[in-house]
Amino acid sequence: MGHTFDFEDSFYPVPPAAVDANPATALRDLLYRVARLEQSLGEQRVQAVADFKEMLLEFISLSDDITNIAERWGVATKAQEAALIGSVIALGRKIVAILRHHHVEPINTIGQPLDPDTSDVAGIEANDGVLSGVVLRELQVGYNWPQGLLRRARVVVSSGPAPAAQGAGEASAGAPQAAGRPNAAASTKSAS
Amino acid sequence: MNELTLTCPYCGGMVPDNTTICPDCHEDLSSLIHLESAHLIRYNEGLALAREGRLEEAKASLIAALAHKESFAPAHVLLAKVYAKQQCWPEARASVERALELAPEDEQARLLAGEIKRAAQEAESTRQDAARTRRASAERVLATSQRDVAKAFAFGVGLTTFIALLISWLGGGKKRRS
Repeated sequence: MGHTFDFEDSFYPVPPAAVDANPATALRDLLYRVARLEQSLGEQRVQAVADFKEMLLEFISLSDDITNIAERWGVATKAQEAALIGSVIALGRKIVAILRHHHVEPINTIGQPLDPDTSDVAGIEANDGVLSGVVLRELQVGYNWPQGLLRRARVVVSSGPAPAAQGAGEASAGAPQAAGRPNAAASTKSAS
Repeated sequence: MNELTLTCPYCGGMVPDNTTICPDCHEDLSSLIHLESAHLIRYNEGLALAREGRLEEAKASLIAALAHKESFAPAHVLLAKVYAKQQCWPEARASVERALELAPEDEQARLLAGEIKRAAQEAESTRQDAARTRRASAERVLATSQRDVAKAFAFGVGLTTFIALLISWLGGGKKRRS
């Protein structure tokens, strides 16, 4: 038998720390770190959504202010005023575009039955041509966004025909509609 | 000779082969290096055991090294030597042939393959010689025993004849006296 069968091969250098390492322990540590990071990520995500909501609400408030300014200003009489109000309106449109970019959409309430999930009643008014409980106008526009409701709307709803008109209606149509009256009176009182 | 080139999975930096700590992000990568170089660790174990003459344990370590990385040719070479030391020629030949498949340019593996082939042939001829010698010896023993049996038979026949003659002679004497 020749010397070829002697074990003169060289050892492969491996760092001693790697030889002694225990991969199971390392895996356990890593899983613990992943769990902590996931928890932290979840908390930060919630915080980010809250911060973003706050920022969007500030944008909406700004948009409301611009709308109020434009409404208060009315018709501009001077060219300089017209240019100024035009710029303000353009700024308002830009803010609305930013809100739309972030999927913030106004809630359509006017002419719709009151939705207590999205709207608060700010007032009740009698209206001959509108059924009771239908929204007449908005005092504050409500908004939805991908996470749900961003801001509740504040609306004025109709209480139906005014008592005088209702009385006339009763006179002409008879007694059957009289049952609706106490409810309307109650809702008017609660709104005030 | 070192196969280890590691990119840190945490920061993407290069980790030198003489350390287990990433120089950029200081993460401990010893477990990862342990897993990636498991075949080398087993190979080193096998080599150390083989040098101590603990061939069975060396074989187990080398088989474990190959379980981690079958394409690691040096482990096949070393395993072939262990088999050769144990005179397990078919296994030695299979191991060195696999090493040559993986590393056809490996001069050491080629020399080892030739040496194993020669040693296997020598072992085979020695075995055949021994068998021939045993057969010849057996034949000699058989011939000797046959000769002994023949001699014993002839001796038996002679002895029987002699006794018969003796009895017959003694019987004749008695008759004459009466």
